[in-house]
Amino acid sequence: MIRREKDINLIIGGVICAVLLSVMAIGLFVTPHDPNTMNAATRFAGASGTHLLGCDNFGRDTLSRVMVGSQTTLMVAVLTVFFGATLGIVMGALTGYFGGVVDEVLMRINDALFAFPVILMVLVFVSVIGSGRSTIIIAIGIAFVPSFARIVRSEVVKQRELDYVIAARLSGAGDGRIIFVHILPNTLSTLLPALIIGFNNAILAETGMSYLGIGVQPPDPSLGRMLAEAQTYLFRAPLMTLVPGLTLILLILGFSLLSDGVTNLTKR
Amino acid sequence: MNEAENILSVQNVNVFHGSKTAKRRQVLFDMSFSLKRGEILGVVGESGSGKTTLVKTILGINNDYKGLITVGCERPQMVFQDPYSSLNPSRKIGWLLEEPLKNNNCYAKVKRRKMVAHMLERVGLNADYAMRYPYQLSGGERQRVSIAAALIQTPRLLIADEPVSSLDPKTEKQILELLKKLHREMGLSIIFISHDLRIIRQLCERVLVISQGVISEAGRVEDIFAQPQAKITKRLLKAAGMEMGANA
Ligand SMILES: Nc1ncnc2c1ncn2[C@@H]1O[C@H](COP(=O)(O)OP(=O)(O)OP(=O)(O)O)[C@@H](O)[C@H]1O
Ligand SMILES: [Mg+2]
Repeated sequence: MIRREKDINLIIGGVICAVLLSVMAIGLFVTPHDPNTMNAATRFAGASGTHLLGCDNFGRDTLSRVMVGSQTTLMVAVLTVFFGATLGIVMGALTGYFGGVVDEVLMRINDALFAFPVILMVLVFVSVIGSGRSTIIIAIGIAFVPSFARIVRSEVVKQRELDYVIAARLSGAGDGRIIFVHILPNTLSTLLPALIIGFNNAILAETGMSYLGIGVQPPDPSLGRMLAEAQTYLFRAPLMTLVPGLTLILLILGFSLLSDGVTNLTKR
Repeated sequence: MNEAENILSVQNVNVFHGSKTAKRRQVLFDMSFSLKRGEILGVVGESGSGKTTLVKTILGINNDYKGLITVGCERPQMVFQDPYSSLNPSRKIGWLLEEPLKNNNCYAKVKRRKMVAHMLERVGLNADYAMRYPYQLSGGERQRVSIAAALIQTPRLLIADEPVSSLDPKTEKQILELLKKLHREMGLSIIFISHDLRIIRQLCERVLVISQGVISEAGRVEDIFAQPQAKITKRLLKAAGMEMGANA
């Protein structure tokens, strides 16, 4: 029964993600209108044949901006997770495998990072290297390191005692090879759902930062920026808020369902 | 130690388990013995007596010990007791068998594949087992893969920790024959751990009887089985239905 339910999660999540991602992918090549061209005549326009999802306060086509904006959001999230997970995985693998002093030192750094609120971290980075895409990728990425490091560390600690690791050592493999080629693939079933959840968190973090004006800078659209711009006109042009808002919700929902489904799949 | 004659010497070795702080306790007490080149030494003892601990210490896997261990060859190999944890679950059999060849030799891929296929056949498995994952193998088949992985490195010293306890009689015989053959042809020295005294008598020249971390008795298999001195040896012989006189 439970298995059935989770399979449905996988299917629904997959469909939502597939639809959203294909709309985004189309936006890579073509959008109905130029997302950054302003037009006084179409300010706050409602849904119509030419502007399917209406226009914003500068008369820019909302559909086109969501198509391009979600690309930006997704791109930032992917890079953030890639950056944070890579660092976290390496750190967790080394601490878990070697233990001892390496473990103590790296895990204390980890705890310090963990105790640091994400938003504060981002603000520190913004004040040092200025706002923008790369800043939030680095800042949120670093904030993600501890959680990945912990997951990988606890898995590696479990695995390193197993006979296959000893066998690998007897076969002449060095520590690096044992960690990354022999042990790491076996942590994938725990890591994969964590990566998807991390990806969701990254989307939310990017949206939040851009909403606060310290993420993606105008005129480039991102879901967070669009929400920030729309809030003043919530009643005048509800589509301006609804479209990026719903896109965000569906995106998160889709990936959450997918994560549940994948977790169940790897448990079999 | 006589380097030319002995491939392994263990002198006054004491081994501990548990971390330094939490419940560190001594498992092996003042063990001394040696293994001649080309000899097969049996190790018997009840469950928990410290057999696995002894061989893991010899291989340098357990570093918490006092005493002197001298291994007179490069890369001694081990076949593990538990066939379910000794093969990496995320790698195919072929990959696992190729691994030592990649790490220690510089054979071309084609040559490695050929050696793997040959080795698989030697342990009685079809060459296309190379394409399978460990979870697609039975316990006995896994154990044979473990043996293949150890032997593909042509070691001078092989430690086999109950390698046949999960096998059916036919496969067991096949594996024992293989070990004997390698012993004859390559002068392979073997430490063979077993519960089964019948196998020890078939295979080994000398035997160590271990009880609660101490060597209770050591010597030629015939002597010890004919005239056991230690209580534990008598008990083990009785359990195997090989009481004094019964098989003489
Ligand atoms: N990693 C470990 N940490 C702590 N104690 C251990 C550890 N491994 C083994 N021991 C203890 O050391 C003793 C000897 O264990 P060992 O595995 O060497 O026995 P064995 O003779 O191989 O038994 P069996 O025939 O059941 O395999 C046992 O009392 C066991 O509980
Ligand atoms: Mg054992």
